Amino acid sequence: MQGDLTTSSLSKTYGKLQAVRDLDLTINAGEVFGLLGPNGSGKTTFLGMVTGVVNPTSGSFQWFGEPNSHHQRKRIGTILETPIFYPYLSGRKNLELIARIKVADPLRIDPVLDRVDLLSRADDKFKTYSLGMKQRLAIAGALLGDPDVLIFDEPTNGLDPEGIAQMRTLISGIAETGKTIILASHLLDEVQKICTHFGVLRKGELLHSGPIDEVMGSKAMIEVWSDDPGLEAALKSFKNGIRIEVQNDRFILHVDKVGESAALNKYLFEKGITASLLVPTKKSLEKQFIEILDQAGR
Amino acid sequence: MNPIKLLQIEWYKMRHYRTFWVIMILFFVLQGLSVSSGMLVLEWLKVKVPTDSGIDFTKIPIYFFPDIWQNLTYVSVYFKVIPAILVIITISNEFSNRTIKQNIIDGMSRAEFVLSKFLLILVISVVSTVFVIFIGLISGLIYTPSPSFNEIFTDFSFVGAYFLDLLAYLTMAFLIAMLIRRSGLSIALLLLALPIEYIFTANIPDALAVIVPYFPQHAINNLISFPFSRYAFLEIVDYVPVNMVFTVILYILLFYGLISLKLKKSDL
Repeated sequence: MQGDLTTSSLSKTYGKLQAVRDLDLTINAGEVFGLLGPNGSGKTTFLGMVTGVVNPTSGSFQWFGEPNSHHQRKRIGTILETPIFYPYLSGRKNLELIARIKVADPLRIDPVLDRVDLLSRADDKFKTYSLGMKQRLAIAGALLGDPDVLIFDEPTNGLDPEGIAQMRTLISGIAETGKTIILASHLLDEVQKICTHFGVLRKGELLHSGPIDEVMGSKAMIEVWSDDPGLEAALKSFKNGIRIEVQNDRFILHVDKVGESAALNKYLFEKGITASLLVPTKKSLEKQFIEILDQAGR
Repeated sequence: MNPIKLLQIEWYKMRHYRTFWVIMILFFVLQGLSVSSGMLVLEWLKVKVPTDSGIDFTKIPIYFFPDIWQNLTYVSVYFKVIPAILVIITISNEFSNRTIKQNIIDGMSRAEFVLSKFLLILVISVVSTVFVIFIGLISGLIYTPSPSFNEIFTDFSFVGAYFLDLLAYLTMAFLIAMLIRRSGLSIALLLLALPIEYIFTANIPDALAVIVPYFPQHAINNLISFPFSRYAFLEIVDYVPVNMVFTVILYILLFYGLISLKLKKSDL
């Protein structure tokens, strides 16, 4: 299947620093893809490459299955961490300029300004806007060309709680219209709340990518505690267990699905071990994230 | 995107930018004032310089066709530094506001960005040239006693030289701004470029002296030679040297190529 965005061996080096290393990634139409990674993990460099502002050192990428050119960028709306506009122009005039560059219908300007709730301040100069308003204008600018793909780079950075809530509502609203969204963030709960798919970047390498549901639903953990010394050996021999870790004297058994807890209970009982605690838990994205980083670290 | 669309985008950026209007009006006012004050200068000389020699300075035909074209363009072109500063400010603003990055993200190619700025430079050069033609025709018609059509357009080639001079200088300013990206430093380098070139060429061994006129600013300044010594009966270069025209055109192409290459290789 041809993805909206396909990269192959995409790499970028700055001097000795390898910012992005051999990145192969496919993002399909309609996905809300969260790109997770600590600050400095290469998220912004990656987005810079696929939006045409950073020249890849090697490798390539395709948008919509076509070789890369500036024409495709007219079909993509990008919201950067720091909104960029001409400070001496009003919000509306800035959008008029973008409409000319994107060859978009200027009649869309008022509707998109309304969508981000900026219509009443549209004729004020951009430099008088608050950060939240600047970010919303950036969304208006991105929506102007009715793009197939929207890219957000740390969209809630520096916003106050109200601004963060507004931004998330906007992004979720856009996602519901079926547009493909690529969201770079270091905030796990942000990705968990909004995204359908995610990828993890560390030191420029893509450690994992896949749907969030798989992580959340089919993989699970069971927390077990008993004063019986045979518990650990019993858990190790449980056939559906994947691995065991110890946390505060308690054993955490990783299994394929949450439903294993009943089977485990029965199995322990048969072995003559009474578990005084047995709690099935779904993995949160946070645990999964830490796990992915851990595995890569080994 | 076709060049007209690119120019419209650039014009949209400029026409709401107050600094653009301030600098351009300053440029035209200063240029207009200076070239139309020639008679005042001659009157002043007449009063200040003893006239035993019997020379009446006000009788010097600086505003007569066809002399006026070289005189006028020679003086006017000194003011090119004003639009050059404007070019530097607009380019470095695109970098300091990072709007060049947003332009690229929104779907402009790097080549289109360079072309849009070059078109701005081209338009400034054309408008300035039309302005100089206008001033020249007015002054010439006022001062020249019964000019013939032929007289009026003799030496009109200096008008073309003025255009080329301005275009080359502004493209050089564009290149400096593209390399330095900061307006203060770029303007300083622009102003120092001529002394730097003269110091450099002064140290060239005599055997290579023949190449000196082909250095960029030498070539540009050689398009229109100093005209006023002809009124002291000295010989002057009273034409536009064709080899310099070609040299300057080559420099414009070279600067354009370097600007494009630099932007192509840049991460924004």
